[in-house]
Parts: sequence; C-alpha cells; structure tokens
Amino acid sequence: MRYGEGDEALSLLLYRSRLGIRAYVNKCPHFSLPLNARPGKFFLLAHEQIMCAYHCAIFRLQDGNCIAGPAEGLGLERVTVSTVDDQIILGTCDDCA
Amino acid sequence: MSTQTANNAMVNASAASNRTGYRSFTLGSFNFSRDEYFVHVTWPAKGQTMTHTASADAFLRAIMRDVAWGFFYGWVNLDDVIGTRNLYGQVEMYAGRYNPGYSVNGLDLTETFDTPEILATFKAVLDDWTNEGFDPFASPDETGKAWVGCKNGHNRAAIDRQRQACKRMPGLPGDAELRSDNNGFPVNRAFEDVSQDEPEIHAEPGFENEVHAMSLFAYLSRSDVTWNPSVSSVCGRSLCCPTTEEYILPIKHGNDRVEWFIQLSDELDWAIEDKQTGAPRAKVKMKAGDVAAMPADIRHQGFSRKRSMLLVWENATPGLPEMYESGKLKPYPVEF
Repeated sequence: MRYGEGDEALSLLLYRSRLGIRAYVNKCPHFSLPLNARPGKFFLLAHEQIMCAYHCAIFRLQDGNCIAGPAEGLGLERVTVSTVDDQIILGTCDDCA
Repeated sequence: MSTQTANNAMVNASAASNRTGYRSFTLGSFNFSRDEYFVHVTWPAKGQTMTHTASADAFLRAIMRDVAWGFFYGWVNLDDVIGTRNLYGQVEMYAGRYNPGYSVNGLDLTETFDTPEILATFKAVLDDWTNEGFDPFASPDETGKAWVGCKNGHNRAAIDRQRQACKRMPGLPGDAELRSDNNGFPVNRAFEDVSQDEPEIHAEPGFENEVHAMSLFAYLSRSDVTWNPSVSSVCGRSLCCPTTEEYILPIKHGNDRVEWFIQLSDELDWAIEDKQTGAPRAKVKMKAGDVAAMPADIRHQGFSRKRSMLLVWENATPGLPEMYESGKLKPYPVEF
C-alpha cells in the first residue's frame, strides 16, 4: 500500500496470517530501501519470511526481525493496525472512534 | 549429498575429498571444485564439458564480495569468464556469456536461480574453501598464504562480516557507531598518520540536536576490509559508500546504473572495459581529489598499490536498471 506520490511516498507492507494482520513500513533497515525492486513484487519465502530484493536480508513476518543477511539484529518498523468489520485501520481502535 | 540451510535453500555438496578435504558443489548445471591452488568450474555446452580454472585466492576474494554485497548492482564478474547478474530476487550465473571467445562460439551458459539458492551455495563454498588464517577481505600483505594447500579449518569470523551500514550517518544517536579501538576497529597500518580529531559542532540555539558531523578520514582509516564499501551517509536514495582499497578489486563490476567515484587519498588505477565484450575502453588514474563517473555500460576493475580511500556514490533509486536498459537514460551522466 502506498500513501502519497513519488519516491518518498509512505509505503506499507501488510501481511495477513492466522495470527492476524501485521503491518510494516516498507523500508529495509540495511540500506533504507524498499523491500521490493519492482512495484508490488515481494519475495516471500517459506516459514512466513520475506527477503529484501536488494541485498538479500531475510525478515520474519511475525515480528519483523531480520534473521539472516546484512540487516541481522535489526528489524522492520512495525505499524499498529486494527480491523473493524472488513476495514483495516491504521492505529488502534481508539483512533477509529 | 544435499544439505538444507536455515532458510530452506538447498545446497548440493559432495562429501569431502579424501585427498584435499574440500567439498565440491553443484549449482544447476555448474560444478565448482577446488584443490591445493586452484578452483575449477565446469558447465555443459555443445555436448561437451567446458572447464575454467582460477587461482583459489582470487576466486575466494571475488565470491566473498558477491556474497557480502548480496550480488550488488548489476553484474559481478568473478573474472573474465564467470560471474553473476543481480535480477533483484533472482540471480543469473553465467560462464562465458560476456566473453566473446565463448559466447560467439556458443560455448557459454547462463542459468537463473532464486537468490536464496545461489546465495546459500556461494556461502557454503566460502565456508568450506576458506582456510583458517585466510581473510578474503584483507590485502595479501595482511593475510598471507593460508589459502594454499589442503583444507585446514575455517575462518568464519572473517567471512561472516557484514557491510557496515547506517540509517542516516554514523555517530548519530541510535545509528551505527563511529569506529574506534574500543569497538574493534584499530587504525590500519597504512593510515597511522591520519588525524583522529573529530569536528567541532557549534550549533545555533535550538538546533543542537539537528546538526551532526564526523571525520570521514578518521572513519576510513579504521576500515578493517578492502574493496568493501560501507554506507556512511543516507539521504533519500543517495548513498555515500566509502571504502579503502589495496591490491586488486577482486571482481569486475558491471554496474546497472551510473556510479560516481571520488578519490579521497593516494592513487587508484582503473581498467575500464565494455560491459558486454570486455573490450578495453579506458584506463583512468585517479589521484586524491579526482572525481569520475563510471558509465552504466562498462565494467571496471581497480588497482591500488598502497591502501587508498575512495568514496563511491550510489544512486539507489528503484527502477534505474530498466531506465538504462530501455534507453530512457543515457549510460553516462554528461555529454561533452
């Protein structure tokens, strides 16, 4: 999901699993680049992991932590989301009211 | 024998050789093996098996960069015959494709792999073939000849080092640390005369936490690797990647975008070739203060007889490779 225009637009990565929806800022903490090199194309690996297309850092989608590659010890910036009916809301439910 | 890595990538490796102790590795149709002095790469072409031999130290230095850089931008020629091309999520492994002696005669091979598979294989090769005491990131003067001979242990502490990267600039709160004796970065033997003074910052009231400065010379004088840029400044898509260079750049880098070089100290000679054919295009001697833009249609290799400081300025804007390949952008930044 992108908000705004141009290179500096906020880009979020939304991931739905049996544990719910996780949202992360789409920025690899290694070189501060998006995780994807091409629009909408991400590299999902087995065991709910995602790989940054640029330098192969691998992140766990459950918590955003880098488990292999050049960003090891760092993590994706998590964004709080909540679901109301079928809507995904950025922030907590308090913000929905 | 196949082994599965922690990331579920498969590595096809043989048992250790009874004679040398080294394993051999298979990646698609390519086979990699090493002996006391040499690495041997084979691939099928025209119904025969092509062979390529390289000095093991040169090969290990080259593949170390490819692994550490995550296949980098564009083409990483491990030598004049074999190399990789980063497709950002997948990687091409080629032999002879950019060497007309092979490609014109149909003796080349290119295969595409998912990045985790080729990365896991290259890491396994490095792990098995790097002997104790040999550091592929170091200059020959610093690491000696432990690469020679039969298998003798490992040097995982050296090969598992990551490129140092910052979020904005080293030394800022919450960002990468400045290098010092205390965090394992002593001044390199070649830079003992470099001042370690840090800049004084006199910010106007109200701006105390918004101004930062660091001595890039002091930072680079403590680099523990050669030909391995760190990231010392991130501003949007602009990445300043300074590095210290000694001996030979172990790979020939064929960039998929224009790359700017600023020589900060000493001298560096560049051999520049056509990216597709390897035909010579230019030789450039850069002295301290010189600036050069490496076009997007060349491959380059550097030679530094004394450890020198180089600033590599990368444009990390997504979509640039496609803009150069389509002709939307010219391969050079300036028309004379």
